[in-house]
Amino acid sequence: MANVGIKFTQSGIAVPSATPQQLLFTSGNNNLKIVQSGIATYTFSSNPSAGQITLATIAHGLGYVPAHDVFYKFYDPATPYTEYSHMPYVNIAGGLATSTYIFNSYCDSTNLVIRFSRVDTGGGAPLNYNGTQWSFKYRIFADEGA
Amino acid sequence: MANFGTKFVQSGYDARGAADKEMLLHSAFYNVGIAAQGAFSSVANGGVIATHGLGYYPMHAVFMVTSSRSYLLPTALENATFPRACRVSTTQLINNSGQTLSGYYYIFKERLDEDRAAINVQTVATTRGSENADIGMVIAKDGYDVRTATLKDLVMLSGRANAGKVAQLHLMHLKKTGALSGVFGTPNTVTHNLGYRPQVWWFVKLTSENWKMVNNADDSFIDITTTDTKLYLPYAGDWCCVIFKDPTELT
Repeated sequence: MANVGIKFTQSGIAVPSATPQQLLFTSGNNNLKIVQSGIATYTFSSNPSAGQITLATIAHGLGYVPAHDVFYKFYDPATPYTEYSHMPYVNIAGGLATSTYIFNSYCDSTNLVIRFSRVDTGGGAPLNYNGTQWSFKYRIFADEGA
Repeated sequence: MANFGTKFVQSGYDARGAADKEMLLHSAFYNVGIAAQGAFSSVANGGVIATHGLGYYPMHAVFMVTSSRSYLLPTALENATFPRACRVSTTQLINNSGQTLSGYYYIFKERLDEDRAAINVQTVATTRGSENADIGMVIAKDGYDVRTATLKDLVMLSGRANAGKVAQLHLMHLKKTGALSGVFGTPNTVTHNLGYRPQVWWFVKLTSENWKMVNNADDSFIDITTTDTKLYLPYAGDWCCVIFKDPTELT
């Protein structure tokens, strides 16, 4: 198709001669489109043993595997502080030969799933997540993730 | 210059006074357009996922697919393995995950080696009113019919359609570059002053390497507050921080 559509440039820059970098928006390029976002929360009611826990399952209803992005905040009542960051979250307790705690997320064709895993590889002192509160801000895009 | 341009707000907001973060599209803000995208299969570590030919280091995102699950790289899997981020050169997107990889990639138009200043128009949040019916503007990808295209085949959608979903664009607040501190515990900091915690993507180019996305899966750690974001990474090189308008307000 010919050069048709909508273009926006920075103020003062002529659209016909604008470089791609000077275009703020052009309908000639696809865009990541957020179609669903929200917050999921989870509080550990006991210290998790080795294995996996599904912390949240969010149905997206798209019928295909979409792109997604998740950020998290962690709150520990015993040591009050907040951290807010970009998933995944990995915490290795007691060095490489003890326990690895993983928070990650994935999308399949039905759901966005946020998971916790604890993998034990040694006999050191594990962390205690009992009572910790986790919030997850998720974005599901209309665009493909697979 | 005077207040002119085009705005689309999320359904239920008043375009005349809506805050920047309530916009679907605003002609004053950078939108992160996609230069190339596609699926790839069984690319060996070190192999080329895509040739982009842009001639500069572009912003990118790669999803790893395994067992029908899609993970944004870099990530940490349930079995405590850590697929690394893919890297991008001025011509190619390369599998750097450490394993043979299948998945989906995005290469954006944005350069990773230049700044874009923050643009603030309206920072005060407004109240969402009642949502409207299916109104607005729809643009489909070249070759698709807007009346029948699915969401993934739309360039943008300002109204509500397709089972009530709104396609909010990925509007950029700012992009900033700099040199990594290279010191353990000394963060690389970008101030945004949005007053809320935004979505942030960090990229790094370690000395003698290509650009790649970083999060908390490797030796890096990212902190985001209502005024700034920090990247902790004790290596030398360059960084690029992309801050989006979309908030990540957590309770």
